[in-house]
Amino acid sequence: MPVYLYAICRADRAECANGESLGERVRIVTSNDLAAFVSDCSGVPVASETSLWDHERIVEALMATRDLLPARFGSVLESDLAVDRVLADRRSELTDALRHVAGAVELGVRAAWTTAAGEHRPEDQPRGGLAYLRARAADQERGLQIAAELDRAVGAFVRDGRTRISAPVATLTATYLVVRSQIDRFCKRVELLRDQLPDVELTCSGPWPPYSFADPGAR
Amino acid sequence: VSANVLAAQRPPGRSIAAAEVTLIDLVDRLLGAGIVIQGDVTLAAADIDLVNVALRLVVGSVDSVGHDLRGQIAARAS
Repeated sequence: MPVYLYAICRADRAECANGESLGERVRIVTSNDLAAFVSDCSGVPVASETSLWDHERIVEALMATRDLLPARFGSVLESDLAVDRVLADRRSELTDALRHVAGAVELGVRAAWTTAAGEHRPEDQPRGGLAYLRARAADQERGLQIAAELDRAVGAFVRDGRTRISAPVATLTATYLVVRSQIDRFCKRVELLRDQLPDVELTCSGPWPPYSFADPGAR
Repeated sequence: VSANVLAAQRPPGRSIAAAEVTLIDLVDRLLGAGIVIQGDVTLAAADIDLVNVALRLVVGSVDSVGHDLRGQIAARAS
């Protein structure tokens, strides 16, 4: 029977303690010192707001009491045996990845600023391709500046991080792996930066399961 | 633990609704990150069209679905 994969953790942390309930559907497949949280399913789920939140809710509940590697939405394997094979085949890299995320959560920061390329400036009319490219470059430059400011602000409180700049819409998406005890400090630094950069809209989200730091292949 | 705790701390009066930002962040992570299991044992993984799903969900959230989502987030935050 096909199984839907939610997350992977160390086998000795998989069992539920003190009244924690996995719910009716979720169960544990163990292979050596690794374990996977799965549920029986009939096929690949459709991605909708409801199904995405369902996945998220289950992974968040599991994350409350253990370190884990969250699976991408829609990961369906053909059987428990297949799950066992994946855990065995990738044991070494999964173990390393679990060590990397231990005790930490993922925090997201989005920054948006007034775009130079998208601005309508009648005095410049007609704007040629060169003017547009210059504006795009200016957006990219501003994004790099903001990314540097952000890294300076929170760098001391994070274990890992990555940043993506999208020049056409003048936004920066950053995501950080933060040890739980540092979450408050991280948030305070973002607050301070918000005051220092009044032209930039900064938004935090989280704490998330460490999706962006879970796949060893992606690092 | 809730993914909306920090989003809810945004100062009021900003242009983007926290709920929308949270949905975009959710889609980014669940469809664009997380462990990808690939191989002959896999029936499906990572072949969901990220851009189309994200557009559908986010556009939906701005219009009709937005109300439902905000209800969910309020419920989750409480």
